[in-house]
Amino acid sequence: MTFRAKLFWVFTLALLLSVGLVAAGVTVLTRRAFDDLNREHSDALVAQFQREFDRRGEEVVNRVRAIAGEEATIHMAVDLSLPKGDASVYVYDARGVAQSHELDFLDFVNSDGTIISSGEWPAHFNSKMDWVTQPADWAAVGSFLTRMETADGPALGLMAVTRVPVADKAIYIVGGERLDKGFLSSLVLPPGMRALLYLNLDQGFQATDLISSGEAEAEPERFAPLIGEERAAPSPQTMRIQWNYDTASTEMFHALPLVGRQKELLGVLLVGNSLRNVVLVERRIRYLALIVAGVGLLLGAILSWWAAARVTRPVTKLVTAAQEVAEGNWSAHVDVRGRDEVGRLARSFNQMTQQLIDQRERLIQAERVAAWREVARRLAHELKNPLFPLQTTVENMQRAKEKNPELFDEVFRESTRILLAEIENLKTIAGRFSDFSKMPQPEFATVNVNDIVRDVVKLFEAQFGAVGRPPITPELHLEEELPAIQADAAMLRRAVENLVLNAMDAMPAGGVLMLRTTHKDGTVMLEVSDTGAGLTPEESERIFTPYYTTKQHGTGLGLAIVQSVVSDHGGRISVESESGVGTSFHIELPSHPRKRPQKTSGSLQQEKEA
Amino acid sequence: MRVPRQFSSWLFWLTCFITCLAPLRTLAQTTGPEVAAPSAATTAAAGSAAPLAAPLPKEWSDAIGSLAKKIKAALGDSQALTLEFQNISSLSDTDAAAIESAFRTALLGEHLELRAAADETTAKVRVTLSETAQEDVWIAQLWSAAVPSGAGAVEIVSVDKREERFQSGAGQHIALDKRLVWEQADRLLDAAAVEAPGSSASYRVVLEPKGLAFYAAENSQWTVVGERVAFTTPAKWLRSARGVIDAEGRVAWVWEGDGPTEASIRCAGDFANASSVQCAAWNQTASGQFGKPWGMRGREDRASVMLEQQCGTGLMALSTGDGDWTQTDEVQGYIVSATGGAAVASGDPMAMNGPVMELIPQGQGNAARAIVRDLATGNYEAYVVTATCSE
Amino acid sequence: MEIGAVIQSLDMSAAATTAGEAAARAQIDALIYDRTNAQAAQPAAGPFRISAWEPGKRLALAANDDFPQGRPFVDAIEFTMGRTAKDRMLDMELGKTDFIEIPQDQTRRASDAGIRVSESKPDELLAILFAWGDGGGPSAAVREALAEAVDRATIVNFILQKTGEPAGGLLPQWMSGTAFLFSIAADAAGAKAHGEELRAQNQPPVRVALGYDSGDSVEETVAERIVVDAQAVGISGTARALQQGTAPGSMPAGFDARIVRWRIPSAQPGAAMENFLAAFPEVAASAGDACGAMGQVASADGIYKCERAIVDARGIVPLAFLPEVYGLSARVRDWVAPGPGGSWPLADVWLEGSAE
Repeated sequence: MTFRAKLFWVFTLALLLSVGLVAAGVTVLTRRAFDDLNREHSDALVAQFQREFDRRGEEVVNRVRAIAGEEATIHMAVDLSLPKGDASVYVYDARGVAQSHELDFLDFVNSDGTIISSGEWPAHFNSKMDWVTQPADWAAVGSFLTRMETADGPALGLMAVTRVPVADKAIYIVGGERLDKGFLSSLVLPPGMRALLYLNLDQGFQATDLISSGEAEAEPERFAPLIGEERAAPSPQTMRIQWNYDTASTEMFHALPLVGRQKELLGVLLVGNSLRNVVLVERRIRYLALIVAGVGLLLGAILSWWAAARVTRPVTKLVTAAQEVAEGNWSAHVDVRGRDEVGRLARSFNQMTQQLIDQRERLIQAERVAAWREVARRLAHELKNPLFPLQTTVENMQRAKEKNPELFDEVFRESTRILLAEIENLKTIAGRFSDFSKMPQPEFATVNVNDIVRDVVKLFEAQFGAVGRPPITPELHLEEELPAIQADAAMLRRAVENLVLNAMDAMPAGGVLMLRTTHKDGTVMLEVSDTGAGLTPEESERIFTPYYTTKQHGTGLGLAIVQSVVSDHGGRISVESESGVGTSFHIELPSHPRKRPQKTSGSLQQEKEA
Repeated sequence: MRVPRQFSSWLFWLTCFITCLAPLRTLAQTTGPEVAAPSAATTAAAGSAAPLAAPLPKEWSDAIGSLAKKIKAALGDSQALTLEFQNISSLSDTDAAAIESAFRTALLGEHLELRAAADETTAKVRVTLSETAQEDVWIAQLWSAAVPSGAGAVEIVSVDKREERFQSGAGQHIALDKRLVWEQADRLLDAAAVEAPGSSASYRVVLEPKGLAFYAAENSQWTVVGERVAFTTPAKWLRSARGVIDAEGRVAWVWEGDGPTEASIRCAGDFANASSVQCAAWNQTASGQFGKPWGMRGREDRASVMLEQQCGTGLMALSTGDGDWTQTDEVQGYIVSATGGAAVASGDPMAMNGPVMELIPQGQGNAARAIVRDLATGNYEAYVVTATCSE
Repeated sequence: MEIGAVIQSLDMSAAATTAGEAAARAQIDALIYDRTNAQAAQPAAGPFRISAWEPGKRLALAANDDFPQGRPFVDAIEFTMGRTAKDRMLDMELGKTDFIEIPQDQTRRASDAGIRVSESKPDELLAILFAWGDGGGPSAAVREALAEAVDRATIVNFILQKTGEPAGGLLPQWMSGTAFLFSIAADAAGAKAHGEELRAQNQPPVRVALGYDSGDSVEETVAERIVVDAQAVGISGTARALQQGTAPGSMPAGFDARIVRWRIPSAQPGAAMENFLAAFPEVAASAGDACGAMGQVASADGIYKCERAIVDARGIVPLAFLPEVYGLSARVRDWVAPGPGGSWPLADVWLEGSAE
């Protein structure tokens, strides 16, 4: 990741974090505000329900008292207070009275708690309703909730009891309304709110005990946890229920416990408030916040990028210049005008490169001078050898002419032979110098180094086992998957040949010539090793120097040619040697030749002549 | 033949009002302490019932003996028992006491020991006198000493009420005889022979639903005499018109339904002289006047009449069979115990050619008129049935 | 003479939908045809002839002047059909009808309303009939528990308003003489013990579906009361109306028991038992060999043993003997409530104040 990208991400993340915190804070505060509003609303509804409940209770009390005051009721009480009172006469009375007074429950109960007549369950006569006879003053109790038994099972009733005393006996009028769907429907609720009633009449949560004023609940079991909490500890509680994947379907339910006279939990009233509007508003706020945040982030990103770019531009320039310098363009210059650290760095860089250029110039000059000196020395050395015999031969010829004319012809023939041989030698030396100076430009093509190696080995195969010569064993360790490279096959072959020749020359007593090819990261590596005498460190230093040789023969240009070829291919060559063990030459060739010459482990870097 | 019993009761009491009360009073005087029943005892007391003056009917004795044997067999090895007795039938307290006494005797005869109190070796027996419409049903419930509670074992004997006999002492026998008085195709309610004083002619007066007709014998044939006295009756009288002729009293009554009501007709006059007979509406609301209806026990739905003549220790009575109007009938003589209760059939029944529509007491006390519809001819016949008591 | 009747159809070939309708049809049949003349190839015309017939609405009979036993007193009888019990009693109070049948549970109300009431001897058995045989049905333990739980006294005193008497056996006391041997008291303790045994043995708990004739208010209330009695001893039950059109005495699928009414056809106990065994063959089979030859020749002992075997098998649980209750207008005279198997003596009654 670039410095600019890093800076960009740092700026962006910082912005994101800030925006996120702000958005979260806004959301939480908004939600709390809506929750408070919702709670106030629900509390108002609960209070309304309580008032309505109390009012209905009063109505029930009044109706029951009205029944108690009717003549037929008093007549029944009087009749049953007599020793021969026959309760069977009244067994069917309650139903009609209940209907006329619009009561869902009505029971006439005798002083011993026996039901005389039951409106809601006519067959229940003669059964016991002992709890009726227990409180002394029903007038003080008013209306209350209680569980009532019906033919269809238990039900919850809002009941009232009135006692009709006659002499020392009494009958009880037990009447009430059933808490059911009709009761719920009669409650007036604001839009968006609804009421459910759970009848706690069975063991455990029963979905069928949940009554709705409208259609039956599709998922009544969702209320089980809330009901369970109420059963464990009856108290007003709330719970949110999200009905589907859409959060707008969420409803907030307030649970109100409905308790009987003994404080037992008989039912739970669930007042539901749809949070749809709240959720939609929240959602809108959230979307707006997201949009704003998004826009902000986008702007921030753009700004961050611009800022990062501005900050990193001089650095980039610096980097670019450094890269150019690394590639060899030492004249790269960083144009930074700032006075900050980056500007100072740039100026230092420029200064450094200038110094490097100057030093390189000087070095080049020195090397050039050294190279010329070396060439001169070498030339002098090379020329001196054939020149001395030339001189001697001519002197011999002079002497012979002067002193032994009779031998002059023979001496003349011998001397001319020697002179021609030496002249040929001089021509060879001159040819080699000429060849070296005329190293051609490589023509790149796709080349497989393994093929070249095999060809070269095959070429020298005969010489490896030549008669009269200790055998040399070639060992090829060629990587099969060696990638092809862009190279000049001829020049490369020449280089390999020179290396093989060099190795053969280093093993006059025979030995092993190992050629290995490998590759790594697109770079092909060729190793040519011998088991000769090895090189000293000094020799290793100078081995690639033209005309430097450790052999008795040769011009000393072979390895220089190899180096030149390797250099032209953008590769590098190095040597490892251990005295008495052998020498290994390592060549690295890129898949595509680089223009930048590689520094070798040898002495002077050879410049490529254009 | 079966008839609404209300009719037979009203007819009986109407005739009794005229003719029978005196003999009954005489009978009540003569049937005094000699035939007074022992005091009723409906709960068990070991063998303390007073002895009856009269032995039980054979069928009862047989039933008691049979039940005792069944109890004996059911008790097995247990020989001691406590006995409870209850009567939930219509048998009188007197009869119930008599039966209980006889039962105790029978148990003792089976070598069973009756105890007053129960212990761990004593079985418990409860005898209940019950009945159906046709039978007396006597039930013994047994609880062994080992299983003193629960439903217990049950033994039952039954006695047809119609077969009950009272041994009236000397073995009286009633012989029946019938004499045809009148026969005609149209329906008649009653027919009587009328004697004209000072004349040897025979007359017949026939009471029909729509009027009175008079006949005289001429040349061995009956011819209509005088004008027919027609009644102004509603059409419904055709169905249930009842009537009786008191030839000696020269009165005839006609009414419909249960008994004389405000819509009855009374005719009076010299039945030998048709023109002298006058009929008029008879406003007689007789409801309750004649007391409780009498019905022969077990035969309340049969036509029965009590004759005023005594036979042995009881009065003679006649009753019909249990067929309907499509079957031939019979008249059977009975001796009715003065103490109430069962009547004993006596003598052979007298067969009739068809259903006996009515039985009407005759004035002499040992006869009654039987109105019969001959199934073969379809004619209505009036007979005088005479009952003769012989030893 | 006006009669408000329950009967819906006079078609004797079609099955009666209720026991009440079957009985009413039989009564009208007896008025129209005189079946006492066994020698006749065809039943002779009875005391009345049909003068008008509007199916489901009205049947008018006219007196048959040629009836051999005598022309009826009334000139005509008009039956108005399809009237509910409440409507019938209202018609009686308003003077629109002279003769009605009154459901037993309305007897007291009818009397209180001033209606003249006539009751026959108890000649109808109200009972619980259990599903039997291969079709399944409740186990013997369940039947025993229910039989012990039923409170007959409450049913008679409260539901039937003291019309009728509790029944422990199949025949009333006046008919068999042995009805008192059958216990009529509820055994609450025994029923509770049985109920606890059943609860211990059965999970989920035993449920009994008790059916009743949907058109019969007495059956409905009795069924509901039996459910209450059963619940008191721990047996769960539901009372459900049978589908309209269910044959009287049949046991539809889905029901474990039903309320039945058996009208005793004869005062002769042997003949009555014979009819019972034919009417309830599965229950008869439960008696095994105890019910030999019934009919006229059966002895009181034999009849009792048969009754006892049937009752102890608990295939049927007698509840009450019900009389037939009739309401009569003030002008009806000479009415006698018919006995078992007897017919309405409408040919013998007359109307006071009618023109001669």
